[in-house]
Amino acid sequence: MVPIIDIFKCDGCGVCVKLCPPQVIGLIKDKAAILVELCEECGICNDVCPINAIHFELPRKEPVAVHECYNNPR
Amino acid sequence: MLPGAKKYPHVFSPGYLGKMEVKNRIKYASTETNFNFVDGYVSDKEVAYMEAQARGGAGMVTTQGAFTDPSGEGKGYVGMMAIYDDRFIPGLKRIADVIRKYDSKSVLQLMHCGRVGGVHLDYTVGPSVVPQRLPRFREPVEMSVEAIEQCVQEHVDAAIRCQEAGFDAIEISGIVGYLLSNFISAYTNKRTDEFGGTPAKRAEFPRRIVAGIRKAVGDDYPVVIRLCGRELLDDRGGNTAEETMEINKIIVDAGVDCLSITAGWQESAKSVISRDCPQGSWLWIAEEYKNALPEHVTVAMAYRLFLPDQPDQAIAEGKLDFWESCRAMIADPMLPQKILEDRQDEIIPCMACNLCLARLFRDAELNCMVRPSLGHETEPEFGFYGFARAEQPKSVAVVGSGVAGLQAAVIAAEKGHQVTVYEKAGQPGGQLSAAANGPWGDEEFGRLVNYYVTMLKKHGGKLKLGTEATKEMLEELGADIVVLATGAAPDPAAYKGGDGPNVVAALDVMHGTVEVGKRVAIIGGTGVSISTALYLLDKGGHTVSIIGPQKKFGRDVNPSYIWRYMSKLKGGNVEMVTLCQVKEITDKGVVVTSKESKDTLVEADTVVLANMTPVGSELREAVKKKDSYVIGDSLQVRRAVNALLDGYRLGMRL
Repeated sequence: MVPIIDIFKCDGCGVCVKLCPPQVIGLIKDKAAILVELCEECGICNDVCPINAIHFELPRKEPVAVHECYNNPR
Repeated sequence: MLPGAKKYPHVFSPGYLGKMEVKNRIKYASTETNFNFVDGYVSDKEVAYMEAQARGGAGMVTTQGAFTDPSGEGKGYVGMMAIYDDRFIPGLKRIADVIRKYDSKSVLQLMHCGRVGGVHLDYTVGPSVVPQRLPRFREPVEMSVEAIEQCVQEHVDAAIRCQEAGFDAIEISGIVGYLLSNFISAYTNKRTDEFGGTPAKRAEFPRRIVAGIRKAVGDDYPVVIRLCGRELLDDRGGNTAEETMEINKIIVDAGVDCLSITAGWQESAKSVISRDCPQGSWLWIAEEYKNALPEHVTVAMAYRLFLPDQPDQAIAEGKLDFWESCRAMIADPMLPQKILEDRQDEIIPCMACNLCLARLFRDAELNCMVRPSLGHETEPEFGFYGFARAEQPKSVAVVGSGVAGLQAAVIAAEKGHQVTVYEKAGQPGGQLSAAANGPWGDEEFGRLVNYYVTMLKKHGGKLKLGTEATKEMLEELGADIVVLATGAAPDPAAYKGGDGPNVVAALDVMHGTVEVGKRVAIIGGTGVSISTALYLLDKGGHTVSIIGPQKKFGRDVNPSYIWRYMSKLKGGNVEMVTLCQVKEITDKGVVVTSKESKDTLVEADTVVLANMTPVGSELREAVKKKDSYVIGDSLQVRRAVNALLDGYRLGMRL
């Protein structure tokens, strides 16, 4: 799984850019962006981001509130 | 009888897990994957992975560890599956069903991660408060007697769910730094109540779990436990071998049918499973336990048993009952089937790189350097069960037989394209073939090159060695698709004096094709320099310096290995000349400058260049008008895992 960078959170500090082992993260308009095709999915960027703006995990399986609202729209 | 069964009669003879017959002696070992949903439900990805392992032909397939407590103290990995409530049973049942479908026995593992648990919490739990050494993990809180008793009950309840979900056997993890091992070890257990203080008391918590589970599942249900045979924690007050044996016997006596025996903790400083540990080097522990335990208890072992020869012999000699396999079968779930059919050279070989496991604590999914289809087994475009034939076969010219080129070529050939690989050297494998000359297990890199050469031939691809693909040749060939995988090489033009008579290339040094004087200076601060330095240290008779602009060398090297390499280099008195630029190479050595000092001479008889630079860019112009691709180090200098991924991802596209 290639990690997802939360662009609304990212502050362009560049730590992930520096520490990505194959050096495939860059800054576009001061936000981190991954060359997805070259990402080896190692998780180091996720690990080192000081503000937790990078993550990847499978979501929750149990729907939370979805069915409730789907069945009875407010 | 299939040829592999004749060749390895003991591995392929049926065995018994307690009273349950299993079709052969191969057990796929429990592997955490991070494939499951973050709230503990089993995912399709996990089921697909378990299916692949079952279809590969192992007699038994073990699931990953499932955590037993609702608070998540036992949860050490974000994608770990849960078993603390009945609502998880349907998902778990999918795994049991798919394993049974392919005629294998299913073993579910319970795992409370203890000292390395509480991944979503800000604490962990354990027998005592012993501060963490690895900064990644949270500080432990001491479990009260009530908490311990509740934990035992949670394990018993989980065992009942395991039976309900239809698993053939249950396994408890007691190794590596997880909760049971925390109670067992004098390093982490400083209690003075009924659960600590003496070896027998440190055994009490695990003993109660086994006894409780045995009572709940009945006498006929097979119970397996994984325990550590040697903690390798002598430097911090871990158990002695005698204490370990005493404790393990108590636990096994409480109702275990099969002991899976291991060595080392995550925190152990010693190499246990890396490449520098020769295959089979831990079998003596299995033998020790076979001799010490009652006859009805069978013994399983993994840990650097990648090929069937040693396990078969060990089983024949009564030193082992089951050949467990984790990493070798992550790399190739079909390993048992391929051995049976005498197709061992078609096994995707595990390189013991440990990238797979290293990712788990970073919340990443399990990954495999040599098998990018891991986690994508049921996605057809990843080709795990085979790549579909291309609708329009094309002619493909691949320039370069390094990892990237060979990997792309193999997939293209499997898809039915007409593939020819052009390699200018006399042997295939590119940088990997040079690396395979390194010491301490690195000859195993050769297995990967051989695998590609075998598969290329099997799928009708051609390999032309000693043939440099020039611009003119590529024009003439008129291939539909051109893949430029020309790799990287040291660049003498980067330095003044780089063409001097005392200057050689790192790869040539490792191929043994150049003379190297006594004093050696290696220019370049990446893994290639470190490999060359290790190679020279192993040869003996050299003093080595490594020169580079970085503050720390080997930033690109596998984190699992770099500390090991650095300590070997330190032991060999390798001088690290960091933070400096090369001014000039002379016949006396290398003149360097840094912020602090101006011109300093690093004396050397031979200067080795390891400044890896992409090669073959002149070919790009020639093939611009064609359907052409650039992959591997010639695209951007990285590591083998990246080159392999490039080749695989391109192959998926062709």
